[in-house]
Amino acid sequence: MAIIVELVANDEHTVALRSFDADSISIGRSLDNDFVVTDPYVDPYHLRVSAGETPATFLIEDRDTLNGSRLGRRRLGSEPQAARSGCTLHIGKTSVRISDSSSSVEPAQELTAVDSFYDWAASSLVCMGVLAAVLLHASFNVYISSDASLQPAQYFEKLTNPMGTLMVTAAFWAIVGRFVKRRVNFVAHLTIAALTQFIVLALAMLLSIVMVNLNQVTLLSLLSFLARGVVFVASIELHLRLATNVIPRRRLVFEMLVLVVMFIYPIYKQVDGASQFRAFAPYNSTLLPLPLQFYNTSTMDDFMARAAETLTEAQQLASEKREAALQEDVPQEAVPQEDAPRGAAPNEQSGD
Amino acid sequence: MRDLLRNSLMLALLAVCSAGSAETSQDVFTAKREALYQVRVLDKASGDRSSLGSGFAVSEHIVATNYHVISSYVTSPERVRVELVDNQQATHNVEIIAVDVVNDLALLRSSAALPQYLQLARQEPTQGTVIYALGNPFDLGMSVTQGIYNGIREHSLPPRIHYSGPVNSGMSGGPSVNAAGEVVGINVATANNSVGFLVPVAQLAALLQQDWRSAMGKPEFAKLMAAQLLELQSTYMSQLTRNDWQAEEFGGALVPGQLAPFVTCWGRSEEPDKTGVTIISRGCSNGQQVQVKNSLTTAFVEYEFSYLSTSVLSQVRLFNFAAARFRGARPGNRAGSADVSNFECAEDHVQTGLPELDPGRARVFFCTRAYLKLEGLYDAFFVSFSVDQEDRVLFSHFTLAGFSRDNTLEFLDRFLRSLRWPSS
Repeated sequence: MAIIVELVANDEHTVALRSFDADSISIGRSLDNDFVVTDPYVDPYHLRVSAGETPATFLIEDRDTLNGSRLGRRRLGSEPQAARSGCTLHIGKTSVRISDSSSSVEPAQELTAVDSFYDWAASSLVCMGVLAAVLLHASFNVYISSDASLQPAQYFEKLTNPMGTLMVTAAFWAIVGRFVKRRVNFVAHLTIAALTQFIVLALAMLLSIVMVNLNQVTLLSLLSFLARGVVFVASIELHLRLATNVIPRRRLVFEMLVLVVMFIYPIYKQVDGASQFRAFAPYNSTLLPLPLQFYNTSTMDDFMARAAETLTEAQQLASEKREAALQEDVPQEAVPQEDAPRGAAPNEQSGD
Repeated sequence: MRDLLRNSLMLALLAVCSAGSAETSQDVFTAKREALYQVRVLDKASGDRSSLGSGFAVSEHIVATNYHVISSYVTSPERVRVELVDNQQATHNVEIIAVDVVNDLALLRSSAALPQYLQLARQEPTQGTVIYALGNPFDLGMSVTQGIYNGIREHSLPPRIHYSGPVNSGMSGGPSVNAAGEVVGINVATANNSVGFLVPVAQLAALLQQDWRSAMGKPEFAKLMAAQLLELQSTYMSQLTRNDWQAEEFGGALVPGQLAPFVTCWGRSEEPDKTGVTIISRGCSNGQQVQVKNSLTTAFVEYEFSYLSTSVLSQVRLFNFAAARFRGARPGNRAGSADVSNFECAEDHVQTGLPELDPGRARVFFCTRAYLKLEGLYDAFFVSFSVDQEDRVLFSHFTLAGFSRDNTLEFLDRFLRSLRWPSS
């Protein structure tokens, strides 16, 4: 019976494999072992693996080592321990998988673009770069949206908020990954979260610059919601692909759910608010992020013509509403829309 | 028997005319007791009271009260009904035959003949005369308060009598009478403990003389009220546009000042202690809106300016500061979704000021909504920020509520032209 020993990285990928046509082999750091592991935490003569009494089983013997061995989570004693084919042994900081010839070795999988992205993201240098970009962007936002009363302490307080969110997001996905035993790399998830944040912030700013001249505030907010939604879903897709092995269809359902919860409702509120004038804040966007030369300016006559159009359109809306009310033939409930008058003069109270 | 009683009361009244005022108020009240009614608006579904007011008979079948007391009947007659309660606690059914939404008056008609009615005073009392407000405050029972006639309130449009005496909730629609028991005004509102407002009796006399019989029927009320409001806004507009709008210096900008006598202006300023921005603000409005119903107030003009300047903030920070500070400005009147259409808006960077001068540039937002039942009226809401100066921003705003299309546009045009920087 053959004994196949695989050196396993990240509990998943085989990085070295040897097959022995023998009943018993030794594993250790010393060069005269059958399978040599160059791990300083592994003893010179660490394990002895021999064929078990039944097929596809082995007897594993820890040779009274300093750091010991684990079979799964179980620590091995000095007595030989029975194990099944395909089991993973942890010795020092190394994992090896033992199997017999009957288990097939899968052909190597090609590295996908996502995998390479993950490897790229897992580099701490890249992560620091992305985090720095987020910080810079956020601090610029804090700067322009503040007045002279801004203190350095407040500045950093405002910045810890996005950073904290990033950490929590990264930790969440790392734990999810841990749970389903796929790749777990906090740094990679942190990079992805930060990248998402950065793209969303940059998008919002870009949109406000481009759209400030398009004179469509509601459209602007809808678009920015939509763009944010796309970016967030893309990032969730990335996190999920890397952290879990949920099958694609379920993943899609999950993403749709996230999209609905995070964005459809706010969009609905926005549209509803615009129609009710409740959420009306026409100058919500940045007033002028670029010098004035970048914007078209209408003449007063042009604007007066458009104002006249709005009056016509409002009258049209009113007549549609009147007809709808007539058809329903049920008087509509009057909903008070506005709060107290903003007038400066003291208002009379009617004494009914 | 009743005649005997009345005659003796009249005699008593004549006797006390020269006596102390406490006795006079008592006598006035006793003499006119039978002409006073509590006006109750009852919710049909629950049978409970939805609003209470007072009223008084002006002829054998007609009772006058405030429009706002019975407004829910005018706007949704299917949901409520109106009844009168006399001093014997007997109830009378009535129908509404005329309304004057602008002057806040309504006439009710009772099919049964009413036992007593009040005469309208032919002459305006002189300022300082003692007069008496009658009504049923807080449903406590008919009562009388004594106060001083202080003339027609200055610059009020529509006109109101300033009455220095208590007018309380529930007395609305009740009469204010002179010592002879003649009506000089109709209780309508209170501003403070002893500052009350009355509708001058001349407005009631005018309504009684109008040919309101032709305007009867529920849908017609809306048309009638729209016509009354259109007339009011055109009065407003003719006062607002009587003169060229004189530009006044305001911070470092030029803006129009008080445009008409019926508008009052208030000012406020903030030092740049913490924010680094100095703010000067002026708000002008006619304090008195016409309440068509709870959810709809109209006939309102307000315009506001804020001048922001800084020596420490950069342009982008100043602009952000201004945008954040005035985020969520709203029209100053109330309107419900059953009263008006949704807003339609236009927004742009627009040249402001006078064409012959170097034009200013502002980011302008203009929104309008049309009234549903009061056809021909609109609300307009305007906001602008100047964007052509690095260290200062002029924020301007106006609300016109219950204005016609043409007047709205004329006001907008004038307003845009009036916003500018002083020529250096």
